[in-house]
Amino acid sequence: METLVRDPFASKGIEYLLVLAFLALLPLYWRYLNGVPRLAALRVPVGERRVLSGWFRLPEAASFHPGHTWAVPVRPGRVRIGVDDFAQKLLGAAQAVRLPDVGTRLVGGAPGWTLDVENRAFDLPAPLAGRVVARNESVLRRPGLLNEDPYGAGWLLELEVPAWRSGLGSLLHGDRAHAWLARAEDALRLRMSPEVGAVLQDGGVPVPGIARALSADEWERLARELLDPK
Amino acid sequence: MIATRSEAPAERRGLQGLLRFLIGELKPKGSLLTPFNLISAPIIVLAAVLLAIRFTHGLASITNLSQEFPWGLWKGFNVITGVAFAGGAYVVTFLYYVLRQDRYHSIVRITVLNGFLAYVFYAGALLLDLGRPWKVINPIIGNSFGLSSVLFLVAWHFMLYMIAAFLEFSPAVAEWLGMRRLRRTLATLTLGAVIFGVTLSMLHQSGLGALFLMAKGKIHPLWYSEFIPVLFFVSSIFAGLSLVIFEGTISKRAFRTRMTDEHHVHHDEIVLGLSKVCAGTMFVYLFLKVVDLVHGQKVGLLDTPMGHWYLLEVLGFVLVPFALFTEAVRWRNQMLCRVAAVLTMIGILLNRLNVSIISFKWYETAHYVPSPWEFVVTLGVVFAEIWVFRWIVNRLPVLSAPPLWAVEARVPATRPVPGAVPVPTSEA
Repeated sequence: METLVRDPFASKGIEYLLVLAFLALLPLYWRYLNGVPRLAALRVPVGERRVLSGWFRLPEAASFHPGHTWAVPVRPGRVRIGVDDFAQKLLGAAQAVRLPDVGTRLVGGAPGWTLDVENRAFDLPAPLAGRVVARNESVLRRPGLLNEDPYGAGWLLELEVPAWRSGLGSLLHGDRAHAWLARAEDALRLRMSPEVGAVLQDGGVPVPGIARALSADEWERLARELLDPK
Repeated sequence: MIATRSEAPAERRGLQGLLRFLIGELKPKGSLLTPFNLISAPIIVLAAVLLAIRFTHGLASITNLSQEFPWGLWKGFNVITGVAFAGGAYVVTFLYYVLRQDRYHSIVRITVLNGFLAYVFYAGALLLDLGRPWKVINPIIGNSFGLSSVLFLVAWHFMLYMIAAFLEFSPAVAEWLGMRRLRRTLATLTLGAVIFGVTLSMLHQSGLGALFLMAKGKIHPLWYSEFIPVLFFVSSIFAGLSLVIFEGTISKRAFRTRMTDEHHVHHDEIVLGLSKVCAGTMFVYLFLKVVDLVHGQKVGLLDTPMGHWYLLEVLGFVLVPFALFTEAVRWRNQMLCRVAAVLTMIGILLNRLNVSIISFKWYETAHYVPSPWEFVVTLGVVFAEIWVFRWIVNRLPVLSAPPLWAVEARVPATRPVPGAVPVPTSEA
């Protein structure tokens, strides 16, 4: 090898090959850089590399709609969406999940699907506008998945979103998401009754179904108020 | 966000009012007894004393410089490395003013200020190292232009770039002083200053590399290259942007209340955008390094002690942060961006010190090792720059919104002006 690179003709040949390799690799690299992690790899950070923002899980890879729904790119132009940890803890165990059919066009910020909790129906907003290309059939069969793993096995839909990059950019991400969730937590703390306030003193985290624990009579109104994106 | 200016414009204050305002602004804002101040102030004072000794008793009194090793830490770190880190200013202004990437709007002023101060302090540190500093003016006034020297180009580039950077920043000074007419005039010069500044930066970043073409045979072949001007230029892009990312992280904590809502909202996207530029330019840089190894027939040198040191620099502090930047952009991971930025900065520091000091006359038995006093002066220069930077950011509309009258001058009155601070009705 050393003899080869000391030969000026050979080293010139290697230089040409390097330039060709560079030109071939540059567009591939740029595509890789602008792409998104593969679905298989994505499951790990969304499901397991969780970051706790106070009481609620907030995965770094996800972007959030203020109506407590999340979105994660699966590949360019395709986005996976679901309900965040705050919403599932606030509402508690879902009896059923009603999802739109494949092919339905969702409007960003408008109701995208419905959760049935304690015989009440809660519409939650689609974080992005797009066409439904896949539904999580497992969560339809077993709604409890949404509570067990809201960012992993409890995902709800996959959308085809042509302007996915700018769409995700308009959602809450990173520090902005942390700040937003902290405000949501503050709003929740203000509603705390003494018995639930004990959770704070214990250093614990809220149990599923916080809204019902806070107010057995008016939990539905309270939940709707706390989930309101405004 | 907090209000920045409530004083009446200078035109209505008169000279006395302006003087009162300036004296008021000199007063410290907040506590002086902060941990940073307690550490930095004694070092700055000690550095000042050491510099007094250096200028009265000569370089040898506090440095280990000699005829054999005339360039030491002050040039290697302050000048060569500091100027590379100042590269963020020309890249960000190019992105914003030329490529019209509006999302970088909120960091333009702070980046230009950073670049300007870096030149004033770090390029200014050149004076500390000159045997006869008073002759520094010669290439400018023509007493002895020194047209055949690369330093002639460097001197003119530095001087012109400092003027261009100040012009780019000057509308903020006019806003601070409340000088409407002056601000209007200065604002018209901004685009010209930016184009001039970007051109000059590209020339002098590579010009600094060209300086080392004079030292062929004295610099270890792994660091000496005909491509060194190109390598210096390309690396200044990711060096400067890494500093912008790092500095942004600090500013976000230190000047949180002064930052505009626009800045808070776009901060994450800005970091990801800059990280992407870093990743792209590092890809090009790594390719150039490989071509340089093959072209210069230096591959055989890699398995030597200096070769291992070279590999540490290129693999550990270019390839690794390059991979981190790439994954950080893909995963939109802010923390990874910051880690990559810090590793990149260490890599640039290593590279510039390797070129200018460590690999210089590597064959000699006696080597230059900076004296402790040289470290103190170097730190003193860095801390002094941070003090001035902090003073300006805490007073001028750098991170905070400009006054409403300045924004109204730029946009039609009917358009909303997010983040602008209204001036009192008495002067409206």
